[in-house]
Amino acid sequence: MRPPRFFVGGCLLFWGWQTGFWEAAALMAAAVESAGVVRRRWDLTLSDFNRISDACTTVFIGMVLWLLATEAAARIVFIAIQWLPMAYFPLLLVQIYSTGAGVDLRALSLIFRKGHKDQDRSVIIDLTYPYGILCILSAGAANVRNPGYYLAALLLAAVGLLPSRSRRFSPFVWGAAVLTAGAVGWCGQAGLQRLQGMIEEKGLAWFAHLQVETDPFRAVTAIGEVGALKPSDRIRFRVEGPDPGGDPLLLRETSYNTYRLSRWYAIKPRFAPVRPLGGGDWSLGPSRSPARTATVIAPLRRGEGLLPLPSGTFRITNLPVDGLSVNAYGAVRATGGPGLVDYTVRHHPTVSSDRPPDASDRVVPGNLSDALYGIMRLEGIGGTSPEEIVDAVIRFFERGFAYSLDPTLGGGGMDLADFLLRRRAGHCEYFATATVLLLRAAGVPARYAVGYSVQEYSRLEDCFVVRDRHAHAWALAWIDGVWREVDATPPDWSRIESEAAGWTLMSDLWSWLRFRISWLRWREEARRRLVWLLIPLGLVLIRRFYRDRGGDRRLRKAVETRRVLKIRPGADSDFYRIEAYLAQRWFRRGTGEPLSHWLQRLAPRDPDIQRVLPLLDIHYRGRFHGEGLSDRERAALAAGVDRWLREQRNREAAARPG
Amino acid sequence: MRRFFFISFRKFYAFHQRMGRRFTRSGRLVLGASAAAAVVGVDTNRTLAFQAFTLLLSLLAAAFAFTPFFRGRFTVSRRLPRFGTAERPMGYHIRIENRSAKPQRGLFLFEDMADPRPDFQTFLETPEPGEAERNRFDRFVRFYRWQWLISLKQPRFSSPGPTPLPDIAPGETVEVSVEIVPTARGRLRFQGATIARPDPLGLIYSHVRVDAPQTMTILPRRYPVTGRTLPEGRRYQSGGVALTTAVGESDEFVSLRDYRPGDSLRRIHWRSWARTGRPVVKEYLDEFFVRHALVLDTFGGRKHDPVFEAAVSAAASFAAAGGPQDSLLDLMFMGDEAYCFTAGRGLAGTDRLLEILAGVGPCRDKPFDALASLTLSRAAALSGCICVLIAWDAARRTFVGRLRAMGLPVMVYLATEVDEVDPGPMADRPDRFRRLRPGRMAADLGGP
Repeated sequence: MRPPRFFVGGCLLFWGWQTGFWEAAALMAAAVESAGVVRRRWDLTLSDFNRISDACTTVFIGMVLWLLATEAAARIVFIAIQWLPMAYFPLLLVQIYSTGAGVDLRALSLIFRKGHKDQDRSVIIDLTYPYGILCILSAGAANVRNPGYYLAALLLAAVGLLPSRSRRFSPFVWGAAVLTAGAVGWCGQAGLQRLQGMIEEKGLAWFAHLQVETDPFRAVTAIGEVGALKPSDRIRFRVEGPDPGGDPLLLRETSYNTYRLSRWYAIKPRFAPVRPLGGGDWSLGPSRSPARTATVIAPLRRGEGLLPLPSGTFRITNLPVDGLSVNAYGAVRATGGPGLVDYTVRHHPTVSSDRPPDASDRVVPGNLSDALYGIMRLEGIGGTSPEEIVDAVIRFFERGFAYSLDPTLGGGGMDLADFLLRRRAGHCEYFATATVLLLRAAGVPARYAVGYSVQEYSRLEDCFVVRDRHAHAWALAWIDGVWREVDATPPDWSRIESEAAGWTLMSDLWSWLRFRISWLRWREEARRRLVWLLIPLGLVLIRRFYRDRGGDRRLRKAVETRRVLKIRPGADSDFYRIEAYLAQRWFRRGTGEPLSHWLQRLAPRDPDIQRVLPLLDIHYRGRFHGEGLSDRERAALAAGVDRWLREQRNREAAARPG
Repeated sequence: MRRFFFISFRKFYAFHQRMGRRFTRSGRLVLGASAAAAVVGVDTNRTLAFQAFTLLLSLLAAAFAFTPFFRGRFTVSRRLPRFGTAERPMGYHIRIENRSAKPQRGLFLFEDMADPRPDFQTFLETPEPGEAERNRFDRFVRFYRWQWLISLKQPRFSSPGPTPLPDIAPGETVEVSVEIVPTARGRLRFQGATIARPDPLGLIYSHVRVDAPQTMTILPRRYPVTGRTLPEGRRYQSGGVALTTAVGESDEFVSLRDYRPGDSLRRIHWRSWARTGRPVVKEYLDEFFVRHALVLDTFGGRKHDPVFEAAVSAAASFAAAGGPQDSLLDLMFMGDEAYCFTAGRGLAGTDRLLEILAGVGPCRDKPFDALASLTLSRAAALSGCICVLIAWDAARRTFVGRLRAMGLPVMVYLATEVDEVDPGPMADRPDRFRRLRPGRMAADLGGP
């Protein structure tokens, strides 16, 4: 069963449309569909197909190796699937331009080659349909979320199924069946998507529940990291977009709502998947304008991690990850991404996708209540509105509090009271925790947020660099239905930490160099440019492959020829010249078809064929009679063949016009 | 574990057959594609292949919805040739009568052969040729053995898939031709036929089963035999007159007949020649004639074993080649008991011998001496003996030695995969001792 014309070309164009390999797809489709115009065909043997199949597999393995070196593990499979049609296109092309109806199964796999080596029978597979299906599935791996994929797939499926249509039924019934199946399939895919969403939600909730039960500290390890990482100057990520002269931009990783014994917990941090908009775009909430934008260029370890985002982020663009999920505390986790992401966020201070406050956001630890309420009374913190309370808390910390990296401040819960009442110096965790608890004591729901402060502009890189020591903590206060950032840490904290860090020029240069290499490795545009380098590499490989095996092939052919001559008496018969002539003039003899049968089929087309039958008898005698032909008979056969061929050519010459 | 594999193979084969009958080629393609789409699109967030999966599945479901609505009544019969030959293409015709009131269009026909699955004992005891060269896993699982055993019972159809049927008007009978290649000698059993109707999309068949049990015999594969040079001396046949209704060389005149090449000039009846103008010879009742024995060694062999099958093929080749004019050929072998079938001179024909050889199986419960005794008891009446052996042990060498000691010309064909064999008692006549190698039978039997 051959597919209709333009089916494979259509599949290729569809694949190119979805994956973005437009140019390659157009060239490939043109090469395939040209077969309808180009009449020339090549007679290829099994070993030719073996070599081409091996070359395709080699190219594909090369592609996978390339992906292993440049892509996150979770993405490799999907990118490799997208590249499959390109890798195996040569095999399809040689099938189309060969005289055979398909490709021997043995050419496709070494296992079949080994398993069927002793068998004369070959299983021929027409690759056109499987290749078309491969294109459709590969196009799906590009994950361009729009109805175009389904509609195009339905159209291609309908075209592909045309040849198998049962003539017992009218075309109307066929069309109705296809349309019905298309409608049912569309509903099915929507249901499948919803089903997976439900399963993920339930599964995540279940695992989240397990986490709280079994490892209550897991969600708060970031607090410890904040303190531990502060002295480090390692550049964590880069940010483009914020005004270099403006206020520092805070990029939050997550927030917590429960404080106990100097640790913050996120209770029930359920992650819910975010539906992709397609093309690497994600929506986290309703759009607002005027929106501010920032571009974050950050590494993702093993292709996953929490994304640092400004508060009020409602749209992320150009984030090529497989999955994004968000929890009730504003943590956004990416999975299945490349090693380096370069995403742009749009944010507005009035947007908040975090869960509104509940009772846990108002809790003041009992052991700190005396200290907190005492300060409130002493400092007169309070007011009629949350804004006034926030202002009062900030004013409290501005009076007599200083930023300090002195490690002697570390300790248990009592240290927070000590910080508030006596030492009045500490790092951002103390300020942030104290702010949250004071706000709660004053009746304002608050949470503890961790992330980074974007404040160091690099002239070398022409963007903001965010180092480990820029890790920061601050408070979130629920004001007018939105979680607002309240940063009570003295503004000179970054200067103090910078002074403590010392000279960083060499390490910054090294970091920049590594970043550029990483950019080259992970950025889509750079990778696409480098993909073209694979083409000459592939050509060189194929060339080498052929050159290396050419000698063997010639040798093998010579050996095979000798063997054939040995075991096939009459293989050198002159009658084969007649066969060659007739094959050229009419059609070739079928594989394994006896000459007599073939001549019988040809007889109605050419009455002169009757005259070769006596020659065929002599040929058969030489071919199959044990003793073969005598020299005299052989000469008679040769003369008969010559005479017949001469007559045919004379007749052709006479029939030629002019 | 072996029983587990055996049961698994049986179930898998049945499942595979059902799938092959239920799905058209396009249907199998769509089914495979939907499975691939399910794998690629398992995470609906990462790819859109799940949409292809639901689309393909819906197409199959739409096709499946048409399956209950096929009703038809048919009669099927075959015109089979009397014999087929193993590994040789064979054609036959199938007649299908539409007994329903509706014209039937776009139908296909599946041949229902007898269940080719071997029983557990056969599966255990019948190794596939070349199995020893397979890796340990294959030898342990024995899947290739299973496949090979199935292939022995299942002929190959020249055109893959079901046979398309022409349109059949109500009450009309159509005939289609089918070509098969039987894979092994023996009985080929047809159970019936399945008339299949594809759905509008051409993905799934609906079925109507028709019983049409028929059987035919597949003869062993035969090769041209040359170089058989046993003497053709005539021997006295005691009771030969009773045995044969034909003619021989006793002194009792029977009739005159036309001269045939090879007739002795001494038997020309000159007066009749003068009267009729063409040579005429005298015929006498037969008591002296050429009689050859064809001894087939069946001891210790395994059915379908290449060596045993080579021996059977060789015996069939000799039987088919025939002997000198008006000679007898005794086929002797051991099955449940000792058998001796005589062909030639009006007795059973060659086809009868071949039919017997089509069903011959190995003898596992008797010693070789039983066959030796049978042959030696008849040696006096034999002009020569062709022994087709599958081993060359002491018992067989002794047997051949005794035949030769009785002055009987003996030709030994030894089916073996061993390269070098000591001719033993045939050392003085190397031209009458030949090896038959499975896979090279044509060369070994057809050589000078």
